[in-house]
Amino acid sequence: MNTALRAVVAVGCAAAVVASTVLGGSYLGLAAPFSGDAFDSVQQGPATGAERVASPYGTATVRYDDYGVPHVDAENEEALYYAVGYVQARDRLFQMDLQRRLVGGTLSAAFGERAVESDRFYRQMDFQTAAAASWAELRRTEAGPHLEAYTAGVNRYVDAGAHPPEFALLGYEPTRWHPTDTLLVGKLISWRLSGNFADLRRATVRSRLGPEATAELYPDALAHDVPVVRGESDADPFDAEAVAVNARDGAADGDSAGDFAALYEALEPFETEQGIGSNNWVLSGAATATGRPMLANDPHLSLTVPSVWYEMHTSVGGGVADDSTNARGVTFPGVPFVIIGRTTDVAWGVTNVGGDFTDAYTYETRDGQYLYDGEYRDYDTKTETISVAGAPDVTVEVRKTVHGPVVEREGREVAIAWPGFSATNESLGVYRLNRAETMADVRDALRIWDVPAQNFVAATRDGRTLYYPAGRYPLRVTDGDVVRGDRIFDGSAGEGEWPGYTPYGTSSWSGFVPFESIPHVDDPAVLASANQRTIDDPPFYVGTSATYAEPYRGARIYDRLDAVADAGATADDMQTLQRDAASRAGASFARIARTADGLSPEARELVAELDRWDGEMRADSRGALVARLFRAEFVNATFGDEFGAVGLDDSYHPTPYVTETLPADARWFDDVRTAETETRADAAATAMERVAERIDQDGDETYGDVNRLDLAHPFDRAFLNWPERPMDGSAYTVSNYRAGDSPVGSSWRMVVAFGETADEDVSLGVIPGGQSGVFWSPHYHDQLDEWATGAYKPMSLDAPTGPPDIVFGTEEAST
Amino acid sequence: MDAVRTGRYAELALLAVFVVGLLAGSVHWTGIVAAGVLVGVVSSSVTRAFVLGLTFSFVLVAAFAAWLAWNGALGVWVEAGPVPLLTLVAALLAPVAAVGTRALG
Repeated sequence: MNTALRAVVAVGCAAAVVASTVLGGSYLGLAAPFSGDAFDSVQQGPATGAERVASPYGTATVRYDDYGVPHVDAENEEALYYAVGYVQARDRLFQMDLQRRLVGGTLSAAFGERAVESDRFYRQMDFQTAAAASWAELRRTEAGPHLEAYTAGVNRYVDAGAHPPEFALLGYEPTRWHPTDTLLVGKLISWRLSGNFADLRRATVRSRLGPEATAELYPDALAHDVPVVRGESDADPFDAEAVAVNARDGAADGDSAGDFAALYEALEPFETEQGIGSNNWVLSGAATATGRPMLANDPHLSLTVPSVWYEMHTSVGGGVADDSTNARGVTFPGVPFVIIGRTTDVAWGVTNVGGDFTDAYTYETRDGQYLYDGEYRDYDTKTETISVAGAPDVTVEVRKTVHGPVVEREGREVAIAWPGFSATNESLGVYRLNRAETMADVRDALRIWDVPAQNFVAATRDGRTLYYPAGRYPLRVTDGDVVRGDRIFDGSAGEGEWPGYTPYGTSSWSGFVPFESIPHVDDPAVLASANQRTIDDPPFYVGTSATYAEPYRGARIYDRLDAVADAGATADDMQTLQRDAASRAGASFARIARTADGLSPEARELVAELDRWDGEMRADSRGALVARLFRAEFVNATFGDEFGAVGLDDSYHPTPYVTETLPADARWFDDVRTAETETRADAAATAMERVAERIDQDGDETYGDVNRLDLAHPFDRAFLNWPERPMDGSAYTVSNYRAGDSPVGSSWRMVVAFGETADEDVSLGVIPGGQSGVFWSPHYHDQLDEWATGAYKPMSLDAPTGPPDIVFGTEEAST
Repeated sequence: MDAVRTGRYAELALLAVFVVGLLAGSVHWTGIVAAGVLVGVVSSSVTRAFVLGLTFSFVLVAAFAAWLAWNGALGVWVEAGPVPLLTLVAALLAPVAAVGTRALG
């Protein structure tokens, strides 16, 4: 090679290296072998021996079991929660960061402009200040030091541990954790379960279709006889006057304040998802084969990658001493305590109370002030800046009235009241549950439970059972009268005041329903909740058909439990019921479909398919496919004309249960766009023809073609997403899964059947996905198949034997 | 330089360069460039620099794959969209740097 050519080659190579550095340095830094940031978390621990971590609180050990569940044992509670913080960050740090960004309104800084509307909403609701108020209260309780230790553990990992690859892919580093971040996660969960704008939706329907139609389609209570509490409750008599001065029973439905369509449609993505729900039940020894209580729970939530829940086993001193922690179950990443689970002798589970815990207020305004209590007042206002990755910053004005934060879209604004805007205590309640040894301990924990109101079922080894829908139930007071909450209140006129409520501060809760007066049942033999109406004729306003779930799941669960309880229920019966895919909704709509006449041959064949169907929403069933599609098309055929004519889309349509229980001659079945008067049979025929068209167009063969498990990582890249598969279940079956833009289903299945001793317990659980949020991990989705097929894994209180995976010690003893 | 390129210690020098290069490359991606430069220095010709640089890349990627496999992550890496491609591109910096260095003399 001559000198000139050598020079050319050398310069070319140098240019190639320089170009790679300049143009692709960040990519090389991301994916270079070994050193790439994306590979930081491939090897989380040392190649051999235990990972050693310094802890200022004392010694602790972590042993991961075959599913990646950490069994954390420590010499004291601070050391325990320090270790819990560390392992949660180790397994789920990106998810924890994402959640606090979501509810704190800082997503845009990582994800750019597409997250601005979300950030604007969460900033305007100012959950950050609400979380700070909760922390100011909590830090003075026995749980405060434990949350501080947990926070230190998270930060130990943030500072020294390998960060998940998502941070490198987004190009930012996680900031340190703060106790309010844990409470922010709590506010997020609480809001998703109890924050809704049903009053805006109902008011809009009322303004466009009139009060009669609204009362018919959005009734106070659905026509069914399977509330959670089927008989009498054990609540103390409720005296509204003792709570709210001069109060009397609820007034009649008042006039709502107009059309809020634009506001509702802007806020709807941020409210409790309609139809979301959960199942739990408890059986006393009188109803079981073993003579000891059994309990089951499967909360239905939006399913995410990684899993919504994080399972862990936490103990102090091996959990053998009296008054020591020994808890196992699931929590939300970012929360140090087990939220659903068990201790040595107590188990508990939750479903959401489908009540009305959110009110909206309008005001007379003038010159940027609002009228309240006879005078114009300034809004409590601050301007915040939303940082947006790759785009200019956005400013948002956060305004509040005496009732709460103000949300405004297209010229209409309301202030929102919600108990969770106040300082709340649910973290302390969960902490107490983690130490519960008796039913009295459970009641102590529930007594201070604030938000979200939850249908707790609990059981103890010694034979006690309990149902308690714990939470803060507001009484709305207008001119000294207690009124219903299913309307928009005139805030300037002092309507719908919540005595004892202080948003973003400490509430006295003096005007809320006393704990002892909340309808509950002591020692029920068989009790189940599935978000349906708590009790018939409650002594105070709780919610309406717009907030409670339909009775499909609740009725099915009670049917099956009553059947097995007679013979003595077993743990296998509990599992079988959690896998139950029989659909009462499907059966009801199939009956309606059979009334259709004048059908095309294709549609007739689909009706015949329903005749052959066994009523089970199974992935391989064609009848289930027809039933599912028919339900949606029948609701559309019934209401699409009337609602469409006044500009309301299908998000305003009544529920399937309201639709299927309408009288056969209801006016809604008439298509107002035609000269003829259509009947329910005509609407059924129209719907079935549409089903035939859709099946022909989409080529779907069985239910599993439309009900697919399709869970995507926030980055939605194939290698990050979980494997797809057809799924059993629907929104209305006990085995719960429904496909969609945001798939919803059983986010945790748990069965606990107590034996005489812990060795005789049957204790099982499974999550949809896996324990680790790190996609390199073998536990990224190793439980997905078991969950999808209705299998379980053990949920024992026995830690794995063998050497620990992580050892925490004092600064001197560890590296 | 002939002693380390063609002398009795040439193979030893090359081995040392590979070991040092692997260590440097596992710390930071610029270590791969440095390894390539060293490979170029000990190579007896431009052609040999290219071959040895490519060999180093292969050894680096093989070691990396073995490390991923040991940690149960090899399958995920293979399916991780553009990530494995970027990893291979990074490894190919070694022969480029080796050839460039050797071409200088």
